[in-house]
Amino acid sequence: MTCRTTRRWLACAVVAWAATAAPPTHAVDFEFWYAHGGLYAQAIDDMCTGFNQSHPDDHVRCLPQGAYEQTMRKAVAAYRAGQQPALVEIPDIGTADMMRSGAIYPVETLMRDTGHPAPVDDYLESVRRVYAGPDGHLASQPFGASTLVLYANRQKLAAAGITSLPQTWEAFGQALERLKAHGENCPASADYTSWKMLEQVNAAQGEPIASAHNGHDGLAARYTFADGIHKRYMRDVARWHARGLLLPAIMTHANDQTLAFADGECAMVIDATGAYAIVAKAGLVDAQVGPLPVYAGTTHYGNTVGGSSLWVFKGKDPSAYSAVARFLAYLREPRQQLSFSARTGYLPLTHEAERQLSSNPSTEPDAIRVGLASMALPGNAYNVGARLGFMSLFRQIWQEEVQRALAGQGTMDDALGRAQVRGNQLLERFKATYEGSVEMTP
Amino acid sequence: MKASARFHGRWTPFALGFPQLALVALFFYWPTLKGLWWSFHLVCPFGHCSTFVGTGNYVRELKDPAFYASLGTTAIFSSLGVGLSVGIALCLAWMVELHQRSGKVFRYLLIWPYAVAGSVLGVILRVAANPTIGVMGYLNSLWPGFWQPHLIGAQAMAMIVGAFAWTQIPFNFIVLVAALRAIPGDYMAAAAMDGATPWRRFIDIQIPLIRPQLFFVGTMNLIDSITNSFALVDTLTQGGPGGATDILAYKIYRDGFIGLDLSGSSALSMILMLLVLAACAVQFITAERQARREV
Repeated sequence: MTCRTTRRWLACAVVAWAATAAPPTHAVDFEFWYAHGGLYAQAIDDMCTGFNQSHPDDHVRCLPQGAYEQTMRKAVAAYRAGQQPALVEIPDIGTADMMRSGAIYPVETLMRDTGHPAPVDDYLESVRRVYAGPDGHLASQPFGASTLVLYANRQKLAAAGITSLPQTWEAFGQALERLKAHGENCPASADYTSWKMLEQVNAAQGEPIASAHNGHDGLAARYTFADGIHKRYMRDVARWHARGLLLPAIMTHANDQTLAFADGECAMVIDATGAYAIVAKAGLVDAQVGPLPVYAGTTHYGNTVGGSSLWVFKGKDPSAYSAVARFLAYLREPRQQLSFSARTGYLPLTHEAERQLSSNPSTEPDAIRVGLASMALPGNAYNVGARLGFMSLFRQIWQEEVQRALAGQGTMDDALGRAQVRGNQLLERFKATYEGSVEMTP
Repeated sequence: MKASARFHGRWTPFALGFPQLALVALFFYWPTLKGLWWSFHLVCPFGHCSTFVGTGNYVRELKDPAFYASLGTTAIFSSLGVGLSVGIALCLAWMVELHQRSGKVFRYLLIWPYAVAGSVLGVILRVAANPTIGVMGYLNSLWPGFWQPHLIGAQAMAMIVGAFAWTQIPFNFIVLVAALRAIPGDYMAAAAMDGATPWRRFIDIQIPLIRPQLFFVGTMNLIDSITNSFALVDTLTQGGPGGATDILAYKIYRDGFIGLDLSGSSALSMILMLLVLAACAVQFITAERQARREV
């Protein structure tokens, strides 16, 4: 550029000023969008700060984007506008969409390309399989993983004469009856969501919720849950609800099943290991944690994880990707995993982290210990999560139909049948949407 | 018109109007066209694929029982919501005008709620309508099972209708008070001297004279109830229980933004837009006819 005319001269001055004003380091800056608030957000922020301090050449900007669904929606909009972050936390139900999006840089490939090969085999098998693409390679890096466990208020159970935690749904039902008979207003509370009542319960029982291995085999999957163990479970749930044994979360003072247990209002709750942080932080009840019950005489298969994973978007500079890879490697360090886990109740994800944790049993929160033990049980094809399209809409349909049955409009059996039919319409549309599109190529 | 009251030159008015037109084009026409295009395709959320399906999305929505259920819910919500908000606002405006001295104070008090944002109101009502705490919790402890909006659809509907009316009443009130004050005092005085009771004057003089304003607030409320009430539903009921408050505006939001079903929700938006246009057209035609009859 020649600095002849006034305008050019001005531009030159600006460029020269910018050059002198620029910081001497060449920190590579990238954005990470996460989907948590409260305790969880603080834990994530601290990890980001730790990374920025220990890696002076890299700089991650960690930005909270609301709950899971909002973050996913914003990520979609941002990608379409070409403003996507380098890294985003996406809920497990978004996995099917993300893998087919054509918008992502598979994590395992990224780590290899940038010279930070990921020790993929170190991931717990039950975690790795949930986020592995059709080729078996990790498409995203597992992050906030949680699984269902049973929380019980030790004092309330003892007062009602229940000496051991219920291991079966039959025993759980009896415990509810005894607590009620003992004058307990809220033997247990539930928010009636499909993740807890359908996806997790079926996984622990080793039963499918959809054909084609819960959608892992491709777009031809259709829901099949309306008969089988889910029907049996939901009939029990409807009975417990009708007799005031399993209170809807909104009928509790806390308005939330986790808080209603944490503040001592309800005696038991089936909740995620991630809820442990809230229960422990509140410190109001002596919480006893046990594995998710199964039906008497059935095998307890390994639990599946729910939660989120980290996806890398395409369309950034190679230098940014190196920084992203270093950040991902940092998050995977056992030290980070364990401190995140201890603060939030999310599970450690690798064998190495698990080993370090079990070598020091005093630091291991009960929920984590029980959660990891449940995940370590032998699995089958149905406890690696579902990979189905329009899953968030399906969850709402399931909830809508179940709410109707609980309000006495028709039977639970009919409600599940309708949820299945409507869910299958979603899957057909998902198939039609993506039929022309190519599967993710690593 | 005076010459000085006109713009000079042909392009000045356009230039002055351009920012507004550009905004409308950017935030209304362009998204509408995009939505129209999406409604004829199956599009992937990330925008890397789309398949032309003609009217497939419309046919699917029009065959879906959930669409008709949602349409019915919208009709109930809109008619009850508009009726309640116009009715109460009219009643308040009339009473304020009836008692001139205290009216002044009440007029200000009643306008204040207009400044409360919809979502703030949603949160307040969520606490107020909670079945375990507050007044409702007390009533529930007297009569167990008295208030269960999470189970009983009619109660959930009553809740959002009430909330909607709350948001609309202040605006309606301002318009209707102004309308009532615009009626010449002579008419009212003459009627009073003839022995007409306040009620008689209200029915025979005030209502007919403020009909254009009633029509205006009715139309504005109707449009608002159809297109703009999703924030209330989102904070209060999320369309539940069992779809009892799943009004079309909320279904569109849910399908498109939570479910990432851009095609289906675009088709629904287009259907909703046609419905709003049709409702407005009907109202305008009837109002026009009445106005002509009166002239």
